[in-house]
Amino acid sequence: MTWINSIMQGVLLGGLFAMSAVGLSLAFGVLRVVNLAHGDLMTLAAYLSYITMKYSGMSTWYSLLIVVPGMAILGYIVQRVLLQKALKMGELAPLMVTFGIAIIIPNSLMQIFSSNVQQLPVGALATSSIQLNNQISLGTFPILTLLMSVVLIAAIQQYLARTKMGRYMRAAADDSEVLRLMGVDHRKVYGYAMGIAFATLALAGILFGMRQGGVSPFDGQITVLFAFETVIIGGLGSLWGTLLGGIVLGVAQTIAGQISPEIPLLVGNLVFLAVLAFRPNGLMGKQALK
Amino acid sequence: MSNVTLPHVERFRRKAAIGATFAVILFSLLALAPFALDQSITTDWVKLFYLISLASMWNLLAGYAGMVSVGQQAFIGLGAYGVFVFNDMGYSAYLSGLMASLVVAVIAFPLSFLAFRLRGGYFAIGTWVIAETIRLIVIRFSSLGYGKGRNISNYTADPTLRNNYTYWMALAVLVFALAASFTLLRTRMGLALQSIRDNEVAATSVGVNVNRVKRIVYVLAATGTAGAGAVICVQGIGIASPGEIFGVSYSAFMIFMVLIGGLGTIEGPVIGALVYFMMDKYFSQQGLWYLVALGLMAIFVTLFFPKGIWGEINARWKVSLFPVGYQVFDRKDVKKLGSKSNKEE
Amino acid sequence: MTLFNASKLTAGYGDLKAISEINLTVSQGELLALVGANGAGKTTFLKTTAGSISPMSGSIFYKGDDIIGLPDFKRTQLGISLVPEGRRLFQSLSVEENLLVGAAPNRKGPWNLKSVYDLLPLVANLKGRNSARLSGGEQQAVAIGRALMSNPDLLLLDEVSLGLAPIVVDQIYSALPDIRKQGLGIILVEQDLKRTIGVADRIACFLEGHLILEGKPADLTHQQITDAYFGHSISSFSENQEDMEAH
Repeated sequence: MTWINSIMQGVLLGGLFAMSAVGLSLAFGVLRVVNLAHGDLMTLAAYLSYITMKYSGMSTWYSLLIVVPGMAILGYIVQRVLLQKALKMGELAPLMVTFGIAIIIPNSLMQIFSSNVQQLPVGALATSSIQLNNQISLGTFPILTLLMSVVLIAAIQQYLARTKMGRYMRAAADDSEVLRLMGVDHRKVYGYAMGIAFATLALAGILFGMRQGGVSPFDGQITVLFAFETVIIGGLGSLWGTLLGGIVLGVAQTIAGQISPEIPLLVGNLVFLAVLAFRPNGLMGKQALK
Repeated sequence: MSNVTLPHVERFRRKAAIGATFAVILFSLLALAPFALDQSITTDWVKLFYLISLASMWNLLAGYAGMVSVGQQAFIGLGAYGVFVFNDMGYSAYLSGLMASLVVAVIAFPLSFLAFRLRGGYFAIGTWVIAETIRLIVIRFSSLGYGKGRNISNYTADPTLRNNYTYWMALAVLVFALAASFTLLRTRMGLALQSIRDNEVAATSVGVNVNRVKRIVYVLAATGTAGAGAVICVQGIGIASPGEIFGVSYSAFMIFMVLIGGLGTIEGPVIGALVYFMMDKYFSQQGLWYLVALGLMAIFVTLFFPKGIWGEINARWKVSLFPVGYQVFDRKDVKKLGSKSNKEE
Repeated sequence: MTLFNASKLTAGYGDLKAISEINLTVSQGELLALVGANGAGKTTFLKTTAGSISPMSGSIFYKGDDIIGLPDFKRTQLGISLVPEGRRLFQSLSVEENLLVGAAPNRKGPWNLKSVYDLLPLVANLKGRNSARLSGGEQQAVAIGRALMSNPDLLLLDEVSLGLAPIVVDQIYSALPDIRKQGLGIILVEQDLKRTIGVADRIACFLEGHLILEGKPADLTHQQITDAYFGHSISSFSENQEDMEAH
């Protein structure tokens, strides 16, 4: 029965992985940028949440209302000011810039806050759980994060399908050169896409921090790998595939953790490498952004 | 149609020969350095040599083959840990380093098949995942010290001899790295490589076996990087922690060195390594702000000085110490040329 | 009234000049056809006009304004619309969504979803279809509809008939008069000389990047045009026709 419990815990964890991966997937689909700083930005968001709480006394949940929109705006600005310039210079430049950011953030945080884990309390939900039967009990918080993940993915999908800007984003993923010929200012489209990406990664980063009991400066260098593995396992270009990928990774890690607490990361990586070796398009891979 | 005469292709043979002779003399002098210079200098130079080696190998991957890797630390770590493996068997630390590098070449070959499933930015993170995976595997072994790092068991007792051997080992790795880059780029493969960097699809269409060339570069870069890792281990008579030797900061240093020096030139990584070496010598006491400064400079250089120091010099004054380019002239212009050579690329 | 004027326009790729010192004018309501062999520079000229390529030298005037420095998307917002070579529909969007994207510049004019569907019933029948599943001719029709949605004053058509069956091309060409009724200027790049002569008000012939012949179809003989097209005497005009039919 502990195995079923593990699997279910893995599914819940997977929801969080998927949320963290959505931004990476969107940024790549629309802009062809792989944000190497993705994980570190998640960490940054968690720290911003911590700072917000410290100076205003509000709870972690309320801090979301400030940090997530704030990060969205930051994403738009970073895209328009930094990444747009890098994009014009070729394929390597955006990678170097995002990698530079990935070095700046954790080391700055380390210097400012030291290596201590900064708390991000979950509040009352931390201990509440739902009892399914004698052996299986699922935490309310993890269930909530899975639900948030599903809602988020559905919301983004509807946004892409139904709104004008969403349509432009899908078009950009297909052919950004022609999108420009249609009279669309691609810089604005890219900016919005990055804004959404930053907002989702901020949410994921804070929830991650809440789940782990807190945040520390170098967390991002691990979470970026989770997000990336989730995208590849699920398959490029598929949002729901990202959810599936997250669940696969989450389950793999949790089951591995049952066997030995030292191997979850390793097993997760091995599963990723196996998918890369035998099903390189991922489990639900397509080419377009859907 | 007018009669078409075959163009004249200039390969700077004379310049290259002069450059090569100069290099041989230089390296011979460097080899003699331990007998003439103070130990503190040669110890410093060990670091400079492995930095140049790392930068050259990263440049080979990114600047010539167009493959940005943020996971070369996998091979640094493997090179370092390989020293332990062979040293424990009884071989000298230095020979162990050589053997470790060769083993890494063998490991890199199948790894390339995995890594090449990905392109561009995803390739980059993929290399990071591979590095992390290797680290996680290595720390499972008690003989390798688990997660705590360990020392070299059999090392040369006499400190002077030890320093000298370490120095020559570092020099050997450096010569390998630079010679490999230069030789590779002057052969047909070098031309193929640059065509891949510029446009992979077009390269395929003219018959370049893209995967084969990329694979060779990947394996070569892994080997050189492992050699540098072995040097790091030997110089430190061990490793402080696997997290450090397998750390992504090494990738940050490599990127920084190559960007500053000049991506896609042979001289660039050497200059970049020199710059980084100086900065490290004088500023690394500042703690992690130093890394933050590196990151900021990397972004700045990427956006505003993409050619790097040597690249700018090369573009402006068309100088080249180690020419690896070709220049095509119409035969009727050849007489006017004299011995001045023009832009490479 | 002069709608568009290119003066000493030189452009290309890297160091290669694909067009040199081109001087061309298009008036309102006029259809200018560009002919010439592959690689002669016609597409480069269109792309430079649309703003996809930055010229090396020369100037471009549109409605009296110098637009050389303007990026492509701003030019579309001003009314220059390009139907690119190869159609290039957005593959993951439906036909209707493609048309909606075309309306991005939000310009006033006669063209909207309804009027485009009326003009091209072929497109109306496909509206919900995914663009990746259309035949070449269907794609071409949609691509033209998409360009019209921006209510252009200068329409650029690049190789509209390339790779399409003659019947399909007939349908597309039969829509031209209705499009032209609105008074826009058109620059048409077309391989098929016969069709070109049938619709053009003026013809300009490109050879290796240079403009070597220009005039009204009535004023030019078949021989003049085909000579210019190939740069020297050509064996048979009809051979060209057979090639087209075979596609």
